[in-house]
Amino acid sequence: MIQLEHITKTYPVGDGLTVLNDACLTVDDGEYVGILGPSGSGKSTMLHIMGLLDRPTSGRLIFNNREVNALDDRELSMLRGRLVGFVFQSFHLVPQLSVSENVELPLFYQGVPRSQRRERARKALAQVGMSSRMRHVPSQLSGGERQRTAIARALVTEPALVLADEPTGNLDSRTGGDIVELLNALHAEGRTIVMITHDREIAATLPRVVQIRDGKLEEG
Amino acid sequence: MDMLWPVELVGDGLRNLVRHKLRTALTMLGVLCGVAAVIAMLAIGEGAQRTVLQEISALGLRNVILTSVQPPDGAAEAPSPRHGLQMFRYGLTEADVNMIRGVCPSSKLSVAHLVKDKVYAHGKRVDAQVLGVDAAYFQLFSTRLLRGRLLSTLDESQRHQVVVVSRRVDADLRRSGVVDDGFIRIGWQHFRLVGVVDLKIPGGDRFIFMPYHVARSRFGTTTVQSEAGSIKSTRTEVGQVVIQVATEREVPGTAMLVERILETHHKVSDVSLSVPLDLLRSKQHTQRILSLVLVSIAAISLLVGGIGIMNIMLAIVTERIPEIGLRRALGARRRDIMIQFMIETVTLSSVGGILGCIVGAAAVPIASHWLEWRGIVTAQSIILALVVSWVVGVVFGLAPAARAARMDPVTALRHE
Ligand SMILES: Nc1ncnc2c1ncn2[C@@H]1O[C@H](COP(=O)(O)OP(=O)(O)OP(=O)(O)O)[C@@H](O)[C@H]1O
Ligand SMILES: [Mg+2]
Repeated sequence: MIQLEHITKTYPVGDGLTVLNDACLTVDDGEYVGILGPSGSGKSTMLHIMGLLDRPTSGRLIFNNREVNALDDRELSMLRGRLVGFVFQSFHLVPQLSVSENVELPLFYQGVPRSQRRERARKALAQVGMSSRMRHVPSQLSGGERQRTAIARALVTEPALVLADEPTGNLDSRTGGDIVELLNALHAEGRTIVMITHDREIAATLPRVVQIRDGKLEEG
Repeated sequence: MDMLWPVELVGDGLRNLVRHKLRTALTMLGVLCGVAAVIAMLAIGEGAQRTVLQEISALGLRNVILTSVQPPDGAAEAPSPRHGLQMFRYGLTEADVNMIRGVCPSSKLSVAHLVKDKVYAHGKRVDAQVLGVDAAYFQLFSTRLLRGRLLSTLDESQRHQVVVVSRRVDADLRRSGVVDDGFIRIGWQHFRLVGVVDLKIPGGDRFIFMPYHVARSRFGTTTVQSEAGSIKSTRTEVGQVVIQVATEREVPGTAMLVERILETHHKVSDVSLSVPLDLLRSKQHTQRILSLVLVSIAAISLLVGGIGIMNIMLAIVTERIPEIGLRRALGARRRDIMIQFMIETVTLSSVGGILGCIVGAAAVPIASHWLEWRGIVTAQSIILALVVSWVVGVVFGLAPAARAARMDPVTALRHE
């Protein structure tokens, strides 16, 4: 699914802040990988690179058997929209759109007609148990409901890869447990999942865990 | 695949605008005022244009009008002392008329006789120019009969001593107690008032018309006047010649020929040449420049409105940075973000423009009524204003939308 080859990411602050330094990682199709690391270690940075949102300073990224370094904005956007589903720590819902419209958004950019979008959003929301909240706007939802909406949005495109950046970070442990259940179910469907977490308990349940230390990735 | 649904984006845009009603209303107000001002200025311009057209076309756009005028003192042809009295000759001559007839044979020609004798109503002087005209004269101008009748061919053949007067003269006569079918005195002759007309001919608006042959036979071409102790006689053979050509296209050529004849045969300027078509052209030109100036001033307020929109859109883009990052994460291209904000800006300016049109179109008739100027809202001006408001949206939306589109997705997502 994804291969990171000697990825370096340097931010141009001061003399240059190197967050990722010669990081290598291979994630196979259908894998479920947890990423651990202290705050500020570059976990989110790595996830953004994997999801084609950010470009590495150097190194090669193979995404779905394609070398993506050379692709332009249009092609990256298309790949991202079709193959990647993001779930963010702080939900990132569009406040003026309803739950259903938020979930439809990635389909909109794929050019799916409205009626189909409605239908697929309805199904995705049913999958996360949010059918009764379709007409609400995000400010009318609880934290757990927001995150479930965000997960519905990530899976509505049926992406091959789901990237979750601390999806439980803003939730209490019970609600967090529900979210992990949902991700587990997605994995059971055969999707590749990469999840950043601070929670060692959750990490312990994952089949594979990678640690970031000094900009490098270590298994276990 | 590459398709977006602009209609949906317009809907989203409208919804965002409705969410911040006050902010939207204030922003729109700028465009609204600008567009309303443009509509009003165009309406004033149009109204003035039409007034000019109406006034001048009353002179007859196919006419070339020559009028004998007294040249400034001392410039007249050398007086020939005869029997101790001075004789001044000026104005058009029979020879001129024959030459004009020769150069434009296909035109209608009407000759008017100038009567220089003074006019009295019940002993009081009346200020008016007296012309002897044939019955066809009135048809050369757009003459409106206000009361009574026009001069007829019967008046001509029977040498009736009747007059038709212009509106201004009629008002003076009434003040002096002369009513319809009453009598006025011209020189030592009495004339009956048979009609009142409204018509425009060069040389003012105080005219008295009598049958041509009556004027020729009763007053002749030479007038003797005693002024300040000395007796002076003036001679004018022909008072006025009106040439009506078949089509407007022949006007400039005819005017040029006539002017050349006058130049060669008149050393002093004792004939005034009036070409209503030229007059119209030059007045319309001035009018158009004036309208342009007015509209430019209105456009400045539209510019200010546009800057207001840009300012607000920049704020909106900043406000929605995380949303921009998110949309990019969900597969939106830079172009999609650009289009989204462009549509939102254009929606804002267009709605402002539509409201501005309504306000402008409603205000013009009201203002016309109270201020007594003529304003005409045309369909073209509405369309122009709408297009301009749309263009304002595009032009002033470009910078904010480009700023949103250029934003790095990760930076946008991390934005607090
Ligand atoms: N745009 C940027 N410019 C400069 N430095 C940045 C930028 N983005 C991130 N950083 C720095 O890069 C480092 C890694 O950031 P990142 O968000 O990847 O950490 P993280 O591992 O996700 O931390 P956390 O667990 O707290 O979310 C941080 O020290 C941060 O200050
Ligand atoms: Mg992070």
